[in-house]
Parts: sequence; C-alpha cells; structure tokens
Amino acid sequence: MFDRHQEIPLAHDRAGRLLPWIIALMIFLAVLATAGAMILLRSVGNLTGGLSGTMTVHLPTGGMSDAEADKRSARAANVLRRTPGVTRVRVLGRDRVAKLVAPWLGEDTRGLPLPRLLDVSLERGASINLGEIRRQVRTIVPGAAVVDHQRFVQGIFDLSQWVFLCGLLVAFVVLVACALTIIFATRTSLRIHHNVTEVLNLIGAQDSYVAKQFERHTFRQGLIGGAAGTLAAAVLLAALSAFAGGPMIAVDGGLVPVWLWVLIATFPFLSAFLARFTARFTVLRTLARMG
Amino acid sequence: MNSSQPIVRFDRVAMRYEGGPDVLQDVSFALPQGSFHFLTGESGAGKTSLLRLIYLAGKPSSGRVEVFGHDVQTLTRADVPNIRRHVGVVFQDFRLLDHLSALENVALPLRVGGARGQKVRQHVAELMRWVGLAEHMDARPSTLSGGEQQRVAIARAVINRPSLLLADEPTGNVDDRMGMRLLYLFEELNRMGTTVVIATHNDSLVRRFNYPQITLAGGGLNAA
Ligand SMILES: Nc1ncnc2c1ncn2[C@@H]1O[C@H](COP(=O)(O)OP(=O)(O)OP(=O)(O)O)[C@@H](O)[C@H]1O
Ligand SMILES: [Mg+2]
Repeated sequence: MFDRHQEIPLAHDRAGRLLPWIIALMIFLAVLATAGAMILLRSVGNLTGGLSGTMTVHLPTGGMSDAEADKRSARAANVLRRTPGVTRVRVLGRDRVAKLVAPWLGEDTRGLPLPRLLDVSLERGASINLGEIRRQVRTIVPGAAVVDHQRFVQGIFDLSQWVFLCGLLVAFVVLVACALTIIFATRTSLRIHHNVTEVLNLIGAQDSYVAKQFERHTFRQGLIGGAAGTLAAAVLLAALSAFAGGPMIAVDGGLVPVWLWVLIATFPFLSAFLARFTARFTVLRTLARMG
Repeated sequence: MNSSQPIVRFDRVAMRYEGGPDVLQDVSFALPQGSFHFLTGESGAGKTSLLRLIYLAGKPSSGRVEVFGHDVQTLTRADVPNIRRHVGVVFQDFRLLDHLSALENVALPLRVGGARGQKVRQHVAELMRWVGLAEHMDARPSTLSGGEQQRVAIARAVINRPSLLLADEPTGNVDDRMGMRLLYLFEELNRMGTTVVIATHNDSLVRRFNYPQITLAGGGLNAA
C-alpha cells in the first residue's frame, strides 16, 4: 500500500513534465561555463608559465665592429648580473642571433647590423627597477631596449582571471535561473494540488510532511535533468579535447584533467539538491502564506 | 488540559465569512470530555461553520473558542497539526482523495502520523469490514456510491481513535439500517472516551438516540 502512490499525485502532473528538460538545459550551460572557465585559466597558466620570470635586452650594434659589439654586450651583461633580483644573464652573440632571424632574413646575414640579445632570468616575484636598468644599459649601448615579459604575461593572466570569474558568474546565474524555474514549477504544482494538500493539513499533516512529498519528487527531477545535462556537456568536452587539441591548448593532463571531470561529475547531485531545497523552501513559504 | 476542563468551549462566539453577514452570533456552550451531542438546525443555520471553528479551519470574528484548552486565536500554524491529529472529522462533502484507493484514504491519518507497515493495513481492513466496505477496499472513491464514500470518510475520521469526533451529516447518504450501524460505531468510540459531535438533519436518529442537542437557529443557539 502506498508503494506506488504518493499522497500527492505529482508524478502525473503535465505541468511538471517539462521541468527535467529545463533543468537539463540549465545544467548543461552551467557545466560548460564552469569547465570553460577552468580550462581557460589552466591553459593560460601553462602557456605563459615559460615566459614569466624573464626579460630580454636588445642591444643595437649599428656602426660598431663585431669585436666592439661583443665587448659592450659583455659589459652590459655584467651590469645586469650585479643587479639584485637577476639570477642569470645569457648573452646571445652574433651567431646565435643570426640563427634566430634566419627564417626571415636568410642564412647569409654577413654585413647586416644584427643586434645582440641578453636573455635575463629573474627571481620569482622580484621587483625590478626597469627604468634604472634601462638607464644603465643605455650608457653602455645607446638605444638599448628592455622588454619585460613579466608585464606582458601578467596582463594576459589578469585578463584570463577576469574571464574565469565571468565564467563562474555565468554558471552561478544559470543556477539561480534554474532555482527560479523550480520555484515557479513548485508553486504551479501546489496550486494544482491545493485540494489534496488542504485535506492532508486537515487530517493533521505538518507543512513539512507536505513539503517532503514535493522534495522527493523534485529531487528526482533534478537528478535526472542534471544527469542528462551533465552528460551532454561531458560528451561535448570530450569531443573538444579529442579533436580541438593542438599546441594552443595542449596542456599537461589533456584539455580536461581528471580533477575537472570529478568536479563535473558532481553537477547532477548539485542539481538534485538545489531542486530539493528550492522545492522545500517554496512549499513551506507558500503554505505559511496561505495559512 | 485536565479531565474536568471541557474539550471545546465557545464563549459568545460570532463568525462571518469574508465580507458576509454573521453566520454565527453569540454562541456559547461547552462540550465536557466524553460527552455525545447532536448539532441540529435547519439547512444554512451554521452547523458546518461551527464545526469548522472547532477543527481550526476558521477563526471567530468575535468571542472566544477554546479547543483542548487552547484559545484558537493564539495558535500558530505549527500548533494546528498537533491538535488536528486528535480530532477526527467527517466532512459533509467527504473530501476523499481520488487518486488513492478507499483503503489508502482510510489509512491516511495513520500515515500522516508516521505509522507504516502491515499492522496499519490489518487495522484499516478490520475497520473497513466493520463499516461494510470489505468489497471496496481497492476501489477509487469516485467509483463508489455516495453512501459508500460517506463510510470511507467516516472510517478515515475514526481510524486514529480521536479524542474528539466531529461528524457533519454522517448519515445523509445511507439508509436507516446503515445509519443506525454508524451511530453504534460512534457510541462505541464514545464509550472508549471520544467526545462526539454529530451535525444532522435526521430527526428519527436524534429521537432514537436521545443525546443532548445543540440547536442553531438564526445564527444563535437554542440549547435543548
Ligand atoms: N465558504 C463560504 N463563504 C461564504 N459563505 C458561506 C460559506 N460557507 C457557508 N456560507 C454561508 O454560511 C451560512 C451557514 O452555512 P453552513 O454551511 O454553516 O450551514 P449548515 O447548517 O451546515 O447547512 P447544511 O445543513 O445545509 O449543511 C450559509 O448562509 C452559507 O451561505
Ligand atoms: Mg453543513
């Protein structure tokens, strides 16, 4: 007795049939927004990790002899080595620079005024006085330029963090919309079954008893809808990581690492509990207001 | 609540539906514990309205209603179910749930009270046999006759052995023989301590069972 029959025949609602589909759609979007945000942050971190903590100094050598240019580069390198925060300075001589520019200028660079380069490694988090370095280096090689990758990397990284936060915000907003939909559906359902809930109350049922029936039903809808939406998003992400690889997003552990899959797998439960508590809250509040 | 206190007390009670005229006026009476009353009065006199006040479905517009010693004006929504679990009500319009079987309807107060299992079923089935519904336990209420539905409603009201039974026209749809049988059921409950109030038009039953009457006329009370 009562095994199949609930006191409130919610499973037969036509109005409620749509809810799992809506939940599925919302959870699909929430998973994509969350996963997208995580993937972006991780990829940017991986891509820029190699650049951060370095600085490049260009030493133009127009009008100098090779010997003169080498001497001045060595002096500039020494100045940098004495600067606090600098861990290593590598001088890229004429041959090395020639190799770097070969793809554009060809193998034969004799007679071309090639600059010398200094590849400078910095301590992590070191605060370098760029202006001072530039001034000192220019006294040795006029027109020297200091390129701070740190700053460029930081810019990209900051941007990616904003986009990451926006992704999470989108996921949050979608979940709020999902909760609002559940509130609306639960209110409709309460109206449809008003005579049943009234009889239950007259017989001595607490509001929480009535709410429990809605909770059970909505929990199931949230779980089913959430699972469907999550599965769809997971399939899409798996396809992306299989086909859309390439150097730009090739990161350690693949596009979607294991921990992110685990996070994604929690979404059906997140959806189910969101549905359940939203339904409970709505029923209790609506009944109390009718009180 | 001590045993000398009345189960229900009305003190100069008036009641009206929203925007309407007074349906009850200056009604005062008390129901001692273990008493058995008929509530009489012609159609529209306010019998159902008075019972509604007792089962906390309405509040008086003036005067004081006490149920089990509680002033109904001071009760919060959370207090109400605990009181209602001790009150069995046979509604004039039955209020059965049609997506449940007759047996499930009767078992509902036990379910709501948290009871489960085979014992419940046995207990319910026994009562349903007693009111002549042995053949109809699995039927939907809408497929039952008016008298059968009425007996399902009665069985649901008494399944919990309530301290107070309010029956609104409980014999309106059954023949005299079944009417008598149902009255015997109420007497049986009354003997076990239930306070009983039966609203009825059925003069022959009222005469035959000779219990005190509360008679409503013109919104007021004629105690007999
Ligand atoms: N929900 C309601 N809203 C407004 N007025 C109502 C409502 N219910 C009853 N009334 C009015 O209250 C008055 C008393 O009705 P009530 O149902 O209490 O009478 P009754 O004695 O039970 O009648 P009956 O013997 O026909 O069942 C009637 O005039 C009726 O029109
Ligand atoms: Mg009536």
